[in-house]
Amino acid sequence: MTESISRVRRLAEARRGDVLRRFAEAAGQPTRSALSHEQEQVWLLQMSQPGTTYNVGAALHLRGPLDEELLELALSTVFARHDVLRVVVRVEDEQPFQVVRESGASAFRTRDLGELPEAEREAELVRLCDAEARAPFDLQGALVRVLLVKTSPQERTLLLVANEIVLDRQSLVVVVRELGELYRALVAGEEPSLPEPSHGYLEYAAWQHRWCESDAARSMIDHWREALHGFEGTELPFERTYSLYNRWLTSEGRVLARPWPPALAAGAERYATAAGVDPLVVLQAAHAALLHRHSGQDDLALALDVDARPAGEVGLVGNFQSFLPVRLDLRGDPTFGELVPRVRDAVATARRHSRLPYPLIAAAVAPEDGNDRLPLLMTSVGLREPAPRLDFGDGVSASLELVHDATARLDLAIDVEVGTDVRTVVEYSSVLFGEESVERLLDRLALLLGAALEDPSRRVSALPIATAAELRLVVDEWNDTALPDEPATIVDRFDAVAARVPDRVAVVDELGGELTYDALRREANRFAQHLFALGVRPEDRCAVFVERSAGTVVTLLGVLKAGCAYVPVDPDVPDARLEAMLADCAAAVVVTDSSLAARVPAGPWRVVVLDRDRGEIDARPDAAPVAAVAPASLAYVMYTSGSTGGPKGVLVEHRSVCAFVRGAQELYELTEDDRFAQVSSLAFDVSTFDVFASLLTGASVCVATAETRRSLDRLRSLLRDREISVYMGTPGVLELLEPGDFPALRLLAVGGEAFSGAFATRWAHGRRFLNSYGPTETTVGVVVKECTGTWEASPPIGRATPNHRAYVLDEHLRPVPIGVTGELYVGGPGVARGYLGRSGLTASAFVPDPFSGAPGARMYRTGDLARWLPTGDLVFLGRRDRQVKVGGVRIELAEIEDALRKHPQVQQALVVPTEGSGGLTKLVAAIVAAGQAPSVSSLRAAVASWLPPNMIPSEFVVLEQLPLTDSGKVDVAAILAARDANAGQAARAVVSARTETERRVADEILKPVLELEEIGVDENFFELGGHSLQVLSVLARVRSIFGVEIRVAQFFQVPTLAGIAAAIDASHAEAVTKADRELLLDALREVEAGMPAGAASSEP
Amino acid sequence: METVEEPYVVVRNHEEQYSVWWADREVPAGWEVVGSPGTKDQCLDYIEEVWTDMRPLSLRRWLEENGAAGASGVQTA
Repeated sequence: MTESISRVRRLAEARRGDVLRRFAEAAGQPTRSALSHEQEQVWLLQMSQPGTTYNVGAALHLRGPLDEELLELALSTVFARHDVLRVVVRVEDEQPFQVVRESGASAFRTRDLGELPEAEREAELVRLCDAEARAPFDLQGALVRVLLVKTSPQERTLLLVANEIVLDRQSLVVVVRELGELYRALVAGEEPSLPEPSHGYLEYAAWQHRWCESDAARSMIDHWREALHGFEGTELPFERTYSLYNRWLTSEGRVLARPWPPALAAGAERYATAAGVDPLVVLQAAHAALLHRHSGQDDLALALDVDARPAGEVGLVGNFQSFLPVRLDLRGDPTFGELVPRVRDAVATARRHSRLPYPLIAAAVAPEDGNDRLPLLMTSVGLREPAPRLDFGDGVSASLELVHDATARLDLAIDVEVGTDVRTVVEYSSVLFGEESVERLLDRLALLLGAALEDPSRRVSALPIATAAELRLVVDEWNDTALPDEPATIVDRFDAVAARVPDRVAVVDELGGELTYDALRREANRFAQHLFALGVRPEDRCAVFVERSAGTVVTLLGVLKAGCAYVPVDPDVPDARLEAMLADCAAAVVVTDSSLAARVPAGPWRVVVLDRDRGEIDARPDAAPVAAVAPASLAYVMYTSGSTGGPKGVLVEHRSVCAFVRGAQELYELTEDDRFAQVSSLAFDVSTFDVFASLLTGASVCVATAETRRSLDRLRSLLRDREISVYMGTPGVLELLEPGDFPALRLLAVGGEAFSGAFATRWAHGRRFLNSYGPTETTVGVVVKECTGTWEASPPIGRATPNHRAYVLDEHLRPVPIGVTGELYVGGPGVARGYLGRSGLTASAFVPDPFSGAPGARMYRTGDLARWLPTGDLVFLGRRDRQVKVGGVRIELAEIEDALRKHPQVQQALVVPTEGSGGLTKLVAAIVAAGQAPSVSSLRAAVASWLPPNMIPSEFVVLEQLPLTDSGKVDVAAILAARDANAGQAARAVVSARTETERRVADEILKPVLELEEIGVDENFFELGGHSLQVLSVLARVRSIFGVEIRVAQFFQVPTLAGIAAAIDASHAEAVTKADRELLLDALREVEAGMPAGAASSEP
Repeated sequence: METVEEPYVVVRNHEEQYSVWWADREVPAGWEVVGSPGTKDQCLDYIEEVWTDMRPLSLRRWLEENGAAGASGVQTA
């Protein structure tokens, strides 16, 4: 220590008492108060997410001759100045409150890195910073900790970490600045130039509670209720699939800092000045426009970071940080110049009502909602000041760096920091976003803002959000699937194969039927000749209404060879639908068997009864008929039931089938040795794969009987005993089979509906496994993902197969970039001709494909939502009309249905959205029970164990069967009607407590808390008026009455009387089991002790 | 908020397949505008009326040349 410093220090010592007295807290302040709303919210979040930290941290890098003792003295003075730095939180009568202690944790711990090799010190310092910032606080102990790390004799880092219960970021900076000033003054022996603290934080907390009871507060509650009426939340371009989304249970976050173009910051500032708005508003307008362009939402909210510090109290420290939802209206596609004043006004209005603490806003808006934070506050953009310059006096240089605690307060919070360097600092949920997608969003924000500033008269819809390179990637590069292929007919390709491998087996069935390629060719020729003789003309439709056998394949080929198109009709269809289909396709011929012939209605068609007419058919010549078949000729008509109107006949041409098969041969590496199974109904286009992918390859196909289609055992035998090597099926049946039973199955393609990651993992082991997507309108599966390894969530659907194209487009048919939800369009040779007899419908669903490069090309609008992953795979997001938003997040109803079906007593599940109170969407689940009807609480628990709370249906209806409309669709109106009937009954008969635990929970806890006379075991705590703040009260009572600890998160999974009672009983049971286990172990030890040595381990 | 219906046009490609497109946007290569702009529904109604043979033009021509020869001895059903 130099002489001058020790002199200064002596001086300082003499003044120590003075300093402490003058700069300690003002006298007469309260030493106990309730938590402020800001504090309470942070406290609650940490209580409900065990292990989560809400900390603010500062790393103060000090270089020079530092006097540690004086630093400690300065620090203790800072602690003395601010009551909040010394508080501890206590809980009494189920209410948290704070008590100020005499002294804070000002004695800092020290760590000397001097013994470490120099090269490792920096890394160790970074590690220490992260560890300190991330370590949770014991919420009952000190809420500030300080660590002084000495990296070299001249370099130290003071790590100051506080829980957000006591400090927000801005207050932390104030504390560090005061620390600097006090130290500087102590060293210099001067008077610190600090204002004397006039108020303490506890005064603020007490004042806030009083204010919240005032008329002013009440009118603000009214304001917010009105301002947020009907608000459905903000949708973010999450990268991760929604099933991983469980924000309630985790707030894991990261921080990303990236340079921000200085010209952009300057441009935004210039524009703001000219427009007379805060530069923040310009950023917010750009962010809102970006979100709108990603989600299409017109009604969204940005979180506005507000400082609730009372006016003039700049030196007051504590937690004053609050977020407010600023609801923005982007309707009518405004120009950027029009959007800015909208944002300005919305922000100004929110600020005028910012005194109301956020938890009260949330409570006012969504009283039924158990989760205060999710729906309203998800994303923000802000302007942040760079860390201040600090003055620690002569000889010591100080720089401040904020360290992050790995918690995301919002899902995505972007801050632009304009200092010497202009940069963006983003705090984001690492559960929802990967770093790459955050970077991409920043790039897009910059791109959009740049274009908007360049020409503010551009409409939001016209602003760019993707670079030309990215669009080229999704439109062209990921669709670069060209494979040498010529348009062809099924007939030509089949005849070529038959000529090549005439003696190989083409088709077999389970009834002993077997045909070689040569035999199949000749039989098909005879049948085509027979149709000719009946007078068919090219493009005539021949309905195929037969029992399944090898002969069915003869029929299909024969129809094609006659230049006609087949129309498969499943024998299971009702007579009315059979007649409607025959009439709709204007069948020229109906091919049937004598077992089905009686069901064929009279009409203008000729009827071929295969077994009856066998002699006649067999007498036809087996030479190939000279039929008019071109690649563009119609091959088949398959009926699909659309979401609107009746069934539509999809017209599929030869070239589409040939192109599909060509792609499948390449992708699936099909060979003549493959054995296919034709199990699916002929009326579904999986049969196109079964029949033609095999026959145009020279492989064999086994046609399953109708009985096999219905019997799991028979299907298992068929696949196993026939050594089927290639199979395309739906997840529903495969779910019930054991992959190990089918060693010969080398390739499995699954499509038709979404499946779980576990399903993919199970089947992908030991064989090629492909997720195959494709509507009938684009010919079987034209978007495919090969899945290997382990899958935690449903796999993506991949990308277009050879020669096909897939696009994700917005409503103006513009390609959307990676991560943006759009509608999936499919182009290429698989695109069908259209819908039979419905040219208007065809024209609206089959539209010009401007991207393929082929003039006049068309693409099919699938009606499915999808988005691109950065890997070039498409994620299927469900039907456009099956998507709903609950609590601001787009959710897929099928995912909830999947979760419900995991319940052993659920056979079928259907989730229907309906309008709930306040115009908010709520979900009703219709269940068909497998055996005994499941209880509502067990259904709720089933969903809760897989999905976040906002995906749990609010109502459950158990039905005998799902009601269907005449067209075979599920009758949603009937389900809702059944629910109303159920509700009427439920109102009369609440299921009362059934067990002693339930009775005590009801009488001693829930009824008093909710102030209810009666409560049913399955009634939802929140639907009964319970608020999340009351949850703690309930849990505290559970603790005191039953001696059982239930976690908040656990409570939220099943927030019912039954749920609480079950948790208590389970906990008791576990305690008992534990005790039993101890006894057992003791007994074992005794036995072992009594055994001859070595006997216990004598077993090999 | 009043929604103004965007004007559409009927478009047709070289195969005489029809569809609709935005009236104020450039028509993709290989497509030509048929008739005057209207609402989307009006355009689809028009298409429903005029597009009665959905076979691609090239197929229709090919069948005219090859069809009769192909179906030797066949009578109309």
